[in-house]
Amino acid sequence: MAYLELKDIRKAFKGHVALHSLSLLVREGELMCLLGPSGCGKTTTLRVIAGFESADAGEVRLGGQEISGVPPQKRDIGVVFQSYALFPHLTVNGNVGFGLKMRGTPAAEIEQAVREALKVVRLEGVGERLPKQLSGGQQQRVALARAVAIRPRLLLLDEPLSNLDAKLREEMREEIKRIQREVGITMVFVTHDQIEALALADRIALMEQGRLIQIGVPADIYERPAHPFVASFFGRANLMRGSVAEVQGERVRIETRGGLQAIGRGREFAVGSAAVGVVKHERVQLSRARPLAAANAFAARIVGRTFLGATVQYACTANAESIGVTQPNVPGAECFEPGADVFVSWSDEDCLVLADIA
Amino acid sequence: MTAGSTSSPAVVARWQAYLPLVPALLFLAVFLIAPLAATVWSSLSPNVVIKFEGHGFDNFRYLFGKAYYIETILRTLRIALIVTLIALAVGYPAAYILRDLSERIGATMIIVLTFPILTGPLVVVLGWMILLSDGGPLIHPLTQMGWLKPLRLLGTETAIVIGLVHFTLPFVILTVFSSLKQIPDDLLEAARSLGAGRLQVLARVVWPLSLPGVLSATLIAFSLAASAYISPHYLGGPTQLVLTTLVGQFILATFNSELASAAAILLLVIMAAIIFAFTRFVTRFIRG
Amino acid sequence: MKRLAGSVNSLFLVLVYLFVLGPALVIVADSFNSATSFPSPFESATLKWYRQMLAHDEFLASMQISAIVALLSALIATALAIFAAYALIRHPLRGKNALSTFLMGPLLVPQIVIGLAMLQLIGQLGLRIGLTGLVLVHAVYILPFALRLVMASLARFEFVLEEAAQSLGAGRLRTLWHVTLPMIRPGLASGFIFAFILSFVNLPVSLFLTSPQTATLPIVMFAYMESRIDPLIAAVASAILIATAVASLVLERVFRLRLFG
Repeated sequence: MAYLELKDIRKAFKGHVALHSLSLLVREGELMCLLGPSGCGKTTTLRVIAGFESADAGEVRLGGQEISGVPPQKRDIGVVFQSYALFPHLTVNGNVGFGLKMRGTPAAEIEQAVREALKVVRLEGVGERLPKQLSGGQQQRVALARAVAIRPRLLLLDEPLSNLDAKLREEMREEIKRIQREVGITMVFVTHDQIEALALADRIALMEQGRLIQIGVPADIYERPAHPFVASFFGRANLMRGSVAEVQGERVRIETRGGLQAIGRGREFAVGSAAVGVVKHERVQLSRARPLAAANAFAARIVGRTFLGATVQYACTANAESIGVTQPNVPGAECFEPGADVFVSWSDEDCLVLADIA
Repeated sequence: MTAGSTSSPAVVARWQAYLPLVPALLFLAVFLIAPLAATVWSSLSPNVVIKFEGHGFDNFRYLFGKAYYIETILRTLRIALIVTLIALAVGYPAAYILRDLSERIGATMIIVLTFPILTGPLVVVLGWMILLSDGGPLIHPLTQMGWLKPLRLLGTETAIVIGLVHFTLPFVILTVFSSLKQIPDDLLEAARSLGAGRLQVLARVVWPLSLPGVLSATLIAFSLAASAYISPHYLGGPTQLVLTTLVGQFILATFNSELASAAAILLLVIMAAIIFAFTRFVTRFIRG
Repeated sequence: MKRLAGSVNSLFLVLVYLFVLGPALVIVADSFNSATSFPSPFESATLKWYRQMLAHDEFLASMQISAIVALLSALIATALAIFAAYALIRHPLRGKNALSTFLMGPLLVPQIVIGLAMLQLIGQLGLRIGLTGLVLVHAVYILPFALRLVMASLARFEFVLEEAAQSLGAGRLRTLWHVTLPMIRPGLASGFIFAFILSFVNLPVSLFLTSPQTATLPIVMFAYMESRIDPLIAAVASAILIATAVASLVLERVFRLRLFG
């Protein structure tokens, strides 16, 4: 059931429209991620949910109730800010207990709740310290504890991991997921990092320029992008632009601008319409001899080779089309030198044909 | 929600945001604007000395009619101008030298400068009355040793100028200093590395960049000098009146509050005109 | 050559500071002078003038009045300044510059004119001169100073902390009380102290608005100095000097008050 509902939210700032009629449903207990490049409106969406910005049009409903006109302090929504925003003049206990103090909870209860919250985030024994005496990771745990302590109906996180170094980021990622499961709280978090989104979210909402482009579970969004933008956002994908040459049920053949006849899967295409063939780099095979059974096999030349540690990235040209290939760095994998003549191939299932919307 | 000071980049037209300003605005409207209006009204009103029908500019015509008052106006402007020039001439080099001092010494020196400001001109003027009097610790020994002809300083324009330079100097130094501090050291080092000597660096890099500070300092010094009361009153006395002490005399000695208002409005108008003209001239000069 | 320039610079600075501090030193020195006529060369050091000052009813009474006026006017000015500064800094406002210039207005009006204007209004409204008028006119005079200091303090404040407080259930006023004000407390305190001192030592603003019951210390000194200058008044002046010297040190060291820039 929908727990958080955004309906046709529109928000404009001095001539620039940040959100165009955005609609979104978040289920209870779900970890939803708002993902997108900077400027896509994800943070604005979060702020509208929290009540720091009011939408020009549209509704926000939480648990069935409309909260669009409700000020932030009455929404019962916890927020973890990108900079943590811990109160420098209060101790850790003071910070974590702040929300409960605002509600008039008796001191003994606050103490208990604070202890529990710090236990959940696995940060015990620092209660009397000031924020400036804590490390970045500890500060974030306090920010989480503070937001969780008030047992809000919804928890919002704004780029929670972006201020942490890589190792800490992975650690905190697991922590956030664990805490969410343990407390059972509905969470919406914002990030521009696709790895974070794929690893953390139950569902991902990909946004671009104020619009929701696609929403779905990570595997779906990754494997079955509905839009060329989505395809290029996750991992590395080859986008072969062209026009539809032939349609046979779900099998579509497109003639790419680079002169290839690519065969892939797509729906409802008229012959001659503009289309994009999308193939992930890791789904392209490289071989010296022409593969016999592949639906798509083209002669190509290796133009570049980059060693990336766990993988090797190849840049090829087939006809006039640039094709990128990612190969795992495993023993026995064949190594191709720049200038070599090879064959690139992929199955028709690995080639998604999408309508070419710029 | 990143660390920052405002929640939205758009200009907030919501009337709610202006609300906290209302108390202060109302306060000034009632206790500054209304009183000033009352002063204007009074300046246009007939009084013991000049009787006329209704309201008019007769008080001002009266003031401009007597040589005594013209002299007062000119004296006010003359003193303000001289004080400003001297304060700048002394204050700029002082600020420049202060800038190069180390952090700690520089900070202490700055505190020492703010201290006469806080202590108030009344206390300081007393010190000048002692220093500038004939029998005082400064003049007396000098005349005894024959270095100085016996001279009377108290009750002269010179004494007022000395007192006002003393009063405005800390403000000038602090203003110029803070503007000099904003010039990054790298700029000066870059100029040196390109072959500029100390004087050239001063003339071509420091001076132009410090001009806004110099302008502020000029306006501040001029305003302070023109609106000062205590120094002219004690160091100049009733024979060397300026517009502020004239106002004082009208109220406390001749009990003519309408003429006092006229003199006050005159002072305001003259100051406003000069400041406005100066600012205009300077911005045009900078642009051109 | 550099060393010569260095010593010329140092000499110049020393002369400037001697000039700036000279009068103060002279007053303090003379306040300990046992010679009764004034000015006269130093005879011997004595504390008798300070003792006389502490027994002088008029001076003591006026110190009390000055303190009360300074306290009340500083409170009013600081309170007004907090709200006004918050409005000016929190959100970009249309006409912000004009509004802030208007609030700095009292700086542009000569102090004696501020006092005269209040006198005119009181007279034209048929009211009486009293403590209220005095406190109000002082508050007008010190408002811009308080405003500037509070604004400087608020400018360093991270407003995202307010949003955090709101997300935890604190409304506007409670956020101000529990989060914003505690964080700018040093700036507020220094603004208040500075405003207090400015009011305490001020003469021209009070000149036309005092009555025998509301004579501030500077007013009493003014009247005294009309007829004579003696070591007693030097002692009073020195007392003020020392007090404000201590205050400016406290402001600088404890609150890191930067008056300019």
